[in-house]
Amino acid sequence: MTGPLLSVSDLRVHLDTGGPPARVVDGISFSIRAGETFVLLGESGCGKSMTALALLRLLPPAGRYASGSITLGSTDLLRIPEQAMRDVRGRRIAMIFQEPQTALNPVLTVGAQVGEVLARHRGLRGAAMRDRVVELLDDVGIADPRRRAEEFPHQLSGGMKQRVMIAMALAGGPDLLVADEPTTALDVTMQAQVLQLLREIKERTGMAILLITHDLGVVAEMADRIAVMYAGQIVEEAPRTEFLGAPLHPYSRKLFESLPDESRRGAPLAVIEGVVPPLNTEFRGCRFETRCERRWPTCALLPPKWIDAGAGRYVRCHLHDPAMRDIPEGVARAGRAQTAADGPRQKSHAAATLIVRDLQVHFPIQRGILRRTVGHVYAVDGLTLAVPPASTLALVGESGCGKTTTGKAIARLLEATGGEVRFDGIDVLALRGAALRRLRREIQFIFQDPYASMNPRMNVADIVAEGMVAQGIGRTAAERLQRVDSLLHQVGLDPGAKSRYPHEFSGGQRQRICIARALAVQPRLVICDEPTSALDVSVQAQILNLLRTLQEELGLSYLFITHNLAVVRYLAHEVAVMYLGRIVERGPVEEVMARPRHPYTRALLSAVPQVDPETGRERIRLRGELPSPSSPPSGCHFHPRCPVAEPRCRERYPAAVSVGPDHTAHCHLLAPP
Amino acid sequence: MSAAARLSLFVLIGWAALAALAPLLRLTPDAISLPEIMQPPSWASWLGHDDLGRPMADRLICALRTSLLVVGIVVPLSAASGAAVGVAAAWRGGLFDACIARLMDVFLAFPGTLLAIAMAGLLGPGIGNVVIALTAVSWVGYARMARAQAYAVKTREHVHAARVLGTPAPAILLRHVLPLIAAPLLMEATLGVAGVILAEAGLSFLGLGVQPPSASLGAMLRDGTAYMLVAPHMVIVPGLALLALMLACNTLGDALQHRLDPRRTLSLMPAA
Repeated sequence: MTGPLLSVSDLRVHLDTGGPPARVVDGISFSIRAGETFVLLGESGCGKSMTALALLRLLPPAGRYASGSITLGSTDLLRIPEQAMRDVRGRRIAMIFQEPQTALNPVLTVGAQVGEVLARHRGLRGAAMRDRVVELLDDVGIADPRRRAEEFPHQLSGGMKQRVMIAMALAGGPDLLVADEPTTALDVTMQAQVLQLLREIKERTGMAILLITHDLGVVAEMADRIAVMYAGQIVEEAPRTEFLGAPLHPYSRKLFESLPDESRRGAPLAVIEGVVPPLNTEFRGCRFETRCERRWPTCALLPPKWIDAGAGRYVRCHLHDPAMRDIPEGVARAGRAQTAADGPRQKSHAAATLIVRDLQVHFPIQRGILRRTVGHVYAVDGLTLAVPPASTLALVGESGCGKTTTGKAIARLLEATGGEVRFDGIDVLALRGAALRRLRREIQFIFQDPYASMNPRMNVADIVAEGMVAQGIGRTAAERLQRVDSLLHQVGLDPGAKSRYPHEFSGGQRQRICIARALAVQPRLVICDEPTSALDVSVQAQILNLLRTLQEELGLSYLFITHNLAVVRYLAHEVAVMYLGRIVERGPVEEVMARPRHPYTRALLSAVPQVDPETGRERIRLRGELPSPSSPPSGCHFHPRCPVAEPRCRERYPAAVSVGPDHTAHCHLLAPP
Repeated sequence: MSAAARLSLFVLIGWAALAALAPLLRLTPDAISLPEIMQPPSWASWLGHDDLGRPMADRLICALRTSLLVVGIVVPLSAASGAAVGVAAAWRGGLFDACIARLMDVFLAFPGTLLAIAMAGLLGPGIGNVVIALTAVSWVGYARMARAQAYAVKTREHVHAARVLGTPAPAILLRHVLPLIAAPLLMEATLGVAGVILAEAGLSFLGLGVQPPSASLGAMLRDGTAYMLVAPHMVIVPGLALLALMLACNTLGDALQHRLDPRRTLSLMPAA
């Protein structure tokens, strides 16, 4: 075997931010062999992106290399001049970023941007260059590459932009591709396509990939070897099967346990208490010690060594240190293995809290000086659903399918153009003025980005009390303040937090504040719009647990809008799958997840990367992307992408077909002939 | 804060203090004294005398008081009315917003000074009319900025959250929109001070502003131009004062902009 392609040893990167430097990368070593996919796994703020930037010598101005070496082939990248480094970037190591949106130049055609790399690293000019650009775009699976090369980034969808980024990365013919969360900004079906493409390219070119992600599903799909990062250090390194089979480090285990999943229904998810320690502290013992459930006194005193655990596995933990074996096992604290029974739930469909019938939200498209309406965006086009009391209906779909619009129309943040919304028999869409304001008390909304949904100039007490003031709950300010205390306590925050401002909190804490604000007016229905998609996995688990507990205590109903099917499995009682403004399948969650009947639901379920390495599932890959809601396809909206479409699918929209108890789907193939 | 910004602040505070305390200084800006006609600066009278023998120092302080008076009314008035119109347009949207936007375009299509001259000419000379003319011209800048900023803030989720909680619209505007757009408006106002000083001087120079014998920087400059070769101090003194005020306002405006960090102003929130 030849030596490794890239080896990093004892790399340390410090960020000078005034005060003690933040040690964002603190002595990491790893090596990548030619043709392998090496995954750096970790939560946000653990230093994984900074490691990627460090490899390319693209540190931000405040960053500096404190020590270490990065060897590519036989060159030490930290010792060569900047001039030579420019030939390494793009030519030998290429990088793709998380947001293809911002990584492409909006004023140049994509062809020109790919061509730039070719001109710089391959010396191609004129027609030869143009031909190669088209070839590259074709290689990354862009249909009609000749035309697409002339288009600008805004004319392409997110998935296509990421493909263009990959084409740019491939243009230099690199030995190593650094991919920093390449699919985080994409939908599941797009994610599956992009991951597949990366795998194919790797096989075809023998290029190595350094993949940076926080998603265990992506790890299982892609990785040959995995390194887990925590607080600037690698805490575990292992080959794929060993890692997925039984991770060694307590942190890695926790990451697995905090994944929401069907098998954990009814039980609270494991949570990692606390937060990642600030990186400018001086660590004496193990960095994970304060959050670890299996810590012993030694952990706080001695930094754990990098231990060879055999079979290519390494771990940084005292538990696996042979020299520490004499510590009695009883010292390790047992995990929080408490199990709660699935909360009692009234299954009375007759008395549904919220009934939505044939809801329509059409936005006019206006053109020209006179703003004539030239068409409509059919964002929500005839949607029907019902949320029973004290239970959760999950509304699932890809971005752009209209699920957020539905939520906002029900909460009257947007005006519906047709249909009916009844809450407890009250016609919600007809309410005006004071009556509408009274209804606000019953229906609350939790937003995706907790930070954006709080006024940065208001403190927590004012934020939480705002609804009480507006609704006249609590006669005096003191009375309201007392209620703020109990609300903060209820969502698991210290009441001492009330005089602080939103920017002083972490993402998970902010979402707790938003939940407290919504609960302050004692609602019965809470519309949750992707409340955990901006959060890390371990924090997501905390919020999901909280939502679940609150439902049991207060009998809340949730309309839970999400694209994350694992969350649906964990939290929802019923699920409605949305495609291009309409529900294509709905039913009890166990039914729909176990026996999906609509081809779209099936494709969606099979596109989710699975953590379990053993499942040999057949995958249904969707071609193309979500069509524009301004000109939906004729007949069944899904037929252009459907693997089993028939001629009749093109002609008319399928009616609802009952396929089980409370389980319906809109598909011609399910209808009796 | 840089040395230039500190000096600017000092100049502006000095201006305000001098102008505010003018009545206490027992000035004689209108005392005609024929023996002292066009006397250059000396130890006894350190800014000299004008063509009627009036003391330049006293007249300058009174002129500064006139500028402060005009600025003190025009800037707050136009900023407040402009912000109100802009925020209302952004919040209501639809036809109302379209009308306001077109109206602003009409105002912006004219050069501001020209419009002010036309209005002052129409209303007749006098300090009251100068105030009216300048306010009518300068609200547009604030309105345009407030509208654009309010549009950005309006779609933020915390405004949606307030609506969902049932907070009435005026409370939302006061608590959730205005505080977030105050910083850029304040910056605009600092630069607006310079514009108003200059516009007032311009109108007075043309004889449309403050009427004799009252003093104004513009009127003093106009009087001086006739004797520029014989008594240059009559133009230099008000000219330098005008220059100093302009520079100070602009430097301070820049410093303020720097302080507010363009990135932070754009995202309207302190860095997390």
